[in-house]
Amino acid sequence: MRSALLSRPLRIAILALASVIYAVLFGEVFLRLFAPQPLMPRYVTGSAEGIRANIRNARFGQSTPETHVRIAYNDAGMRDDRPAPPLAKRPGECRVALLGDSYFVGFESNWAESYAMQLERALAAAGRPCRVLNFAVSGFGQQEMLVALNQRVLQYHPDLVVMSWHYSDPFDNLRARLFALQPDGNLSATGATYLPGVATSDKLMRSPVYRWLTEHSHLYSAVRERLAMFVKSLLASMGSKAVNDPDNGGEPQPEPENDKPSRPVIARPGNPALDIALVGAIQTDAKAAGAEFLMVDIPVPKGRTGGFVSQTQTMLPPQMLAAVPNVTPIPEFALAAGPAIKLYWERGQKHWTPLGNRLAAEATVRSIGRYGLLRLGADSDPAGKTAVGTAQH
Amino acid sequence: MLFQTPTFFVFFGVLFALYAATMRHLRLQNLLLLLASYLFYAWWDLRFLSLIIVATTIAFVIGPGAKGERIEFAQWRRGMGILVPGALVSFLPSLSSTWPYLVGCLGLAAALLVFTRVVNAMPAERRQITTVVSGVVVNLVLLGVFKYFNFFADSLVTVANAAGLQLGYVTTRIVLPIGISFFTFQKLAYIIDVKRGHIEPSRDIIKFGSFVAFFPQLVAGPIERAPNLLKQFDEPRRLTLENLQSGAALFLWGMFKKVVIADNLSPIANRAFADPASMTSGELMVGLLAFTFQIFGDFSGYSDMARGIARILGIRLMLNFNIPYVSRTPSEFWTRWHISLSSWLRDYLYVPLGGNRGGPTKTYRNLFLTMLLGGLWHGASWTFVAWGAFHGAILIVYRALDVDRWLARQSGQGVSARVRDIALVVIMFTLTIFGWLLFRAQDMGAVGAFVRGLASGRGWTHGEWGALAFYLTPLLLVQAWQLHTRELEFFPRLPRFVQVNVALYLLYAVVFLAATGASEFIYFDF
Repeated sequence: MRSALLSRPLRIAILALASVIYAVLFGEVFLRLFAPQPLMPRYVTGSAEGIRANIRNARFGQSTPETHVRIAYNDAGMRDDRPAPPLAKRPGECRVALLGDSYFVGFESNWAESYAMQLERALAAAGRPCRVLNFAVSGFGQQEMLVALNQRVLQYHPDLVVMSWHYSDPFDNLRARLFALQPDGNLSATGATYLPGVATSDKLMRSPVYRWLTEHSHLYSAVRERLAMFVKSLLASMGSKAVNDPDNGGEPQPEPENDKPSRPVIARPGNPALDIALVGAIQTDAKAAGAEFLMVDIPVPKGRTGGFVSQTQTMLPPQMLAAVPNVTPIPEFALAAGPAIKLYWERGQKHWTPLGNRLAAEATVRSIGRYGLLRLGADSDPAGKTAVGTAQH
Repeated sequence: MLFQTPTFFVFFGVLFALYAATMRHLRLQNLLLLLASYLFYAWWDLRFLSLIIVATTIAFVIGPGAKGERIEFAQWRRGMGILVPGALVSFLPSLSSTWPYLVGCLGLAAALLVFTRVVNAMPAERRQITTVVSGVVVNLVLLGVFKYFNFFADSLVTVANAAGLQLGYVTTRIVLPIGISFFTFQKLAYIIDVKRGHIEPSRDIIKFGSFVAFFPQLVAGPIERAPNLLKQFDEPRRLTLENLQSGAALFLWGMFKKVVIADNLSPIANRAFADPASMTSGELMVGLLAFTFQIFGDFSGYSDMARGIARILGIRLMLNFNIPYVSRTPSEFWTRWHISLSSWLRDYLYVPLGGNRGGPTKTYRNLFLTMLLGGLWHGASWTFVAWGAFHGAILIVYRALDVDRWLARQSGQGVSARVRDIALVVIMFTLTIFGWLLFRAQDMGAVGAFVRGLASGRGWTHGEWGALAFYLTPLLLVQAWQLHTRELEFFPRLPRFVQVNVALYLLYAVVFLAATGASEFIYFDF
């Protein structure tokens, strides 16, 4: 009698467990058949500097319905198949440091086709061979880039710091709270660490099963992506409430007038003054260390043939863009665009394709020449001499 | 509050818990349903809550008069039990700008009292006629003002301008309250059913209010009849596992049709209708088929979700769709598509007009008028009028050819019967999708561009045929199963193992195949 009483709950437990396992397996098969997900592990952890960093020496794959790539971080956490160079530079050696997010890391591209490597090749083709050191980390905004510049990048004595500007940066800058804008317009350090989700991720990444899931499970990827979107939208809505509060240094958004039909008020996300100060600080700190500075726009496409929206031009004031060397690859993209041309992956996470990377790199080198950075002439032609990657159509 | 959003799931979860807790207290449970329904409606626009409360109060107070009885003061007093608090809740938060409406509601209360005094003084027969006519007129005026004012004002200005008269443009734009066509028709049916003796006038404002505003079907039907729905508020409901399972399955299938099929086909249809002149024949055909199944998935999905929610609560709503695209004739189509509206039009418009009792000419006239008004019911636009006229015309043609009677005399068995039925279904389906072209097009010029594009025969292989097939395959498989088993509720008839897998498929699909962002239902605009 006693064993019968015990066996029933056990049977129920086994049945429940089997049901859950079956439902999970069903979900995995369902997604593989009907809605393949991008499998995009990031291998990001915390660092002594209090910000995120790529896991050193990590090797992993990223798969989407359109492409499969291998990613390797070197012994310094840079996206590079080569070891990190020594901190000290050889005489005459040229170094370019990249600060950015997953676009600059080169997600959805193999190393040889990534923006960093295409830039290195384009510079060589333009007559200015440089080693590109890729300090980009997925999810970085300018707050983390500023810390990374001073704590990681400048010790390698770069000649040029190239920083990306992406539409998600204002959100990230708002959330990070490593620096705050003072009434006099200067930045002050207000936080020692910004490691969102790192503690949990580190614990999970210790498990080989979890690491396998991140690279192979469509169900895991889909659930994680949706949860992340939910949390991000929640944080963004909380953040925009905070930034609209003048007490927080934000600018109040205009209220719709009562006598007009209500329509969505499209407000620039984040705190523009904070973003401007952060970009300015990165440029100033780079210059103080003897490095030149260039900001690269990551445009948002409107379909394959609908054109592109510059994020620097829509989010940053013209006076600033006039004062800070910057480049947008939109002219190159617009020339190449066509119904059969993919510059951004469409079924993954919409990073640049190898062709997109190449065109962005060539635009960057032209701009380096135009601004006279790296002592490169304005008449340099990175495209003419390069045979970069596989132009993917 | 859309059924497919997290907000609704929270709302329904709380309601269900309270509902289960009040199973032994029918009146309290009815009150709970009434308040939940009003909350559901007010979620869109609190001010319009007053509209449904006003309309409910009028129909409730005059109900006994529609039967020819005296309208007791107590009936008026009960009606005020929701009118006054409802008006206060609707307008107090914005009293500075809405106080005239609050005063209007109080004026209406007084007017209703006067009305009861006046009709009570009449003989029974005259009282009945006066009450019914007043009830119908008031409801139609409310519907007309909110739904058709802009349309007729714009049309008047256009006609006057064409005739060389410069009329000042009518700048007043009236916002369409959601679901007004549905609950107005429901109340009209109640008044007429009371007059016809099909139902006793309600003397319980909570029950009556719950009947008019029952949230699952409030904003997009089915258009319920008092003999079915109102009576269910008289008797204790039962929460059963069977209702829970079948209701949840119905809801899930409806949600699949809405968020997976309709919402994913919507952009394909939108692209084709946005600029038909620049599209190839293939793209236009895909767009037209996409809209054909979008509107079916959207509307029948809503109806299934509504019926599923109601069934979980122990309430049965009428069937609204019965595999309409396998209809062989227009009259069969209208017994399968939006059944609650087509049966309403039959019972309260076609039959009173004389139906088929006055010879062929009058029958054709009645058919045409009924369909014309049915088209206009969908909205204030000439394309809806054209759609109604088109359906009226094909009903007349099929009637003149006596196709339905001929079919009734034919054998339904054998290969030749199958071939005949398939041919008739193909013809009717072609007519149906042409009707949807009239329905969906921006204007009659766009219809012309669409037809010219289709007729050009350019690029038939262009267009998103693959996406269309991807989203339609599950629907067609289920409908084939429904036809095979002659059972619309396919889920309970499936073997247990298949049930589990179908449920998992639907659950994963509504989560991972749903179009981004919750979109409103097409019929919310009607």
